[in-house]
Amino acid sequence: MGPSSTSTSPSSPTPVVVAMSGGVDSSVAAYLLAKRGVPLIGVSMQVWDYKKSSAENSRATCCSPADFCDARRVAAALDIPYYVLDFEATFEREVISRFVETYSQGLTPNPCIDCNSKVKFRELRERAAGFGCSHVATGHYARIRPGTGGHHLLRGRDLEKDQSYFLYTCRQEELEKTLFPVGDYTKPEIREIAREAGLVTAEKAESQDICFVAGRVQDFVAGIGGRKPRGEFVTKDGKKVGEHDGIHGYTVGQRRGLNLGGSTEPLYVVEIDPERDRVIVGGREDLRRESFSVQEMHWVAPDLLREVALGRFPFEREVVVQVRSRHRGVRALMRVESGDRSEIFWRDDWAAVSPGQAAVAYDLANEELLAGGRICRA
Amino acid sequence: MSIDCDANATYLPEAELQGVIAACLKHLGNPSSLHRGGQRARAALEEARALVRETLGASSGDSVVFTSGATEANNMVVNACARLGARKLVASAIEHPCVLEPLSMAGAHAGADVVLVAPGTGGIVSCAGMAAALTEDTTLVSVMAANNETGVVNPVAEIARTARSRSPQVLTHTDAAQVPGKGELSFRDLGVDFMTVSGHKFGAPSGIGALLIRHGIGISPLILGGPQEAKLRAGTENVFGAAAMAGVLSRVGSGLASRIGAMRGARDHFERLVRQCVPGVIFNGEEHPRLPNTSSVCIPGVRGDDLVVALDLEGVLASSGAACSSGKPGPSHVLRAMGQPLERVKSTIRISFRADVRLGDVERVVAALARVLGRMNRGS
Repeated sequence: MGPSSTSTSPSSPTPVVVAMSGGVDSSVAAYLLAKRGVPLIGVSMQVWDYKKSSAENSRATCCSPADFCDARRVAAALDIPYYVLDFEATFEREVISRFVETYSQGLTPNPCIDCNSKVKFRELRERAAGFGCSHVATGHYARIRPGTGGHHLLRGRDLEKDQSYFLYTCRQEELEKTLFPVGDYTKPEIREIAREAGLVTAEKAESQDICFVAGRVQDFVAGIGGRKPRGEFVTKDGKKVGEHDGIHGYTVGQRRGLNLGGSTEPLYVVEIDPERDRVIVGGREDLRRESFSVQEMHWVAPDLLREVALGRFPFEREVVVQVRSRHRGVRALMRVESGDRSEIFWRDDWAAVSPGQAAVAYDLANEELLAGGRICRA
Repeated sequence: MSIDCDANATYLPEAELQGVIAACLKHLGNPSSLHRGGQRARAALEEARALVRETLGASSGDSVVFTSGATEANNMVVNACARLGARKLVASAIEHPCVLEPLSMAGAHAGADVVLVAPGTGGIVSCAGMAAALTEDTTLVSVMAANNETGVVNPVAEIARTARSRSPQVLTHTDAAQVPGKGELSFRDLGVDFMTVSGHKFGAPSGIGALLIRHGIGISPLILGGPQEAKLRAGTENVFGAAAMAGVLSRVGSGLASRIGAMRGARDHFERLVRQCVPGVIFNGEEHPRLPNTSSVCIPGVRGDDLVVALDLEGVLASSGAACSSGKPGPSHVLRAMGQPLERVKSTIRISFRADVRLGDVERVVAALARVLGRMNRGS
């Protein structure tokens, strides 16, 4: 018997692999499990050789050698075995390549989701099996609750830190064998636990943005061999209003960092044209869409999974839809068109959507993650 | 209690050797001091030097310079040759990084022509293989006595003879760090100008090693400062380390035959059992003379780095490629130089037995290996 999948499961003789980035969240995740007597194997995932991306002014990213040093110290303090495992090949193939490719198509990638689905919850789990472990624990702010018919994925209790949005690709069999020990706590509580436990990572700064990009996305993409397509900012009617040094790094809906003067109302990126390396800008209303399509759907909630399995398409659900990581979600109708595709219709309010980004549907209480997928181009 | 199958990384001293080391703790004085305390330290140091010289088969005129280890000794040889204005430096491609890196530096900054010779597919650096690189302008040849990863023993004496016959001014060097305690080693018989040993590879503490220099060969120091070690290695001598290394070296030398027998028995038993239960297993270099304790095990379809982790969790200490600073192993340059595809290199681990290994331990190691392989998704 492995440990049960709730984040408050009792101790178990089967060891659990805990992914330790060297940050405070995964340190406390390990600490909480260790305190409950769960046998642990600490693992840091070497995903990227930071020498590859010329990180001149190397900002705080996670998973650097210095972070592994911290993870090692925490593991030693908890008296658990600890190893650095090499995931570079998979990460480069499944995350970096897709990141570069997606931007080149004028879409907005979400590497954290790819990393979770292909690296953390797939390859790590497979390799953990070789160590005699069936369960994987991480420091994500999310909760898993067993229920009738399957496991439910809920937002983390701390809505400021909630990371469920990045986890919509988790399958039932993965949820069953995953532990999110910090999901029941708020970030200040986690820091307090770390302080009380004397963990060396207690006061570490938050890791920001994309872990493998230390500077600007444009420079990163150019640095690893992607082209750097300079081009123009134009309005919807084709008037040039400025120049940019690469469509990479621009996201539909983006307002900050465009550095375009001469307009009375704020300008947003409303479209990216990779064919002509153009970034099309406009007012906020130009971003408005009544509905949008989502593809590569993953169904997470047990009842929704069953309904999709019945195959009686289309069917509809009233949901709350979140369209980027720091978005709180907006009421919408989700019309499920097929096992792979949905159409989202905004209700009272709307949000700007970036093609390529994830759209994730929650229940009306905005707590349980139901499904997610990638936003299609209009 | 773990079973230590990583003796080639560091050979932890048995109880008897620990006793030898402990007895040297009295040698903490400074040999440069004029007083009697210093004189005792000086005497201990020179006694250690004589014992190392004798145990390693060097002649009375040959020099023994104590260093911090093999890395320093190897750096010293390569750097000195580069500073002499060496034109052509030849080495095998399977040398330790502490030979390859200084060579690469000599090539980049001193303008030397550095030639690295790949071994045969079985990992041996043969004289025939080296012959093309050994030309009349060759100034240094460096070939390790036995490789740390495969255990393959190279024909150093023959290579040194050939080099000398082609190039009268050539200097010959062998990094023999892996040999003491596991095989016969005679500086005189190898006929090289320089030979490197390292204490922690045979049961002495780490932080002490030695460079043997043939009588009449001049070399410049790497570390400058005081006049210690005949001005070849500045810094207060590590008398404790030197005495411990000499004592341990002498002790493992006197019991060498039985140590070799025990190691070979264990290694051969291990390979026999693994062959029975792991289809497709390859033992790198088994067709060549090898150190008696070393087995380079390739299990196609399995990640070697994960195998080392899984074995550790089962209480078996093994190793894969060279460890980098983060603790993540990189692919072995030795196996790559042997012409192996990356996939095979990444599927290889090293098992290196101690002399006090029991056959029951070997069986437990194989059982652990079988359990781990059963859990791993082979070939997927």
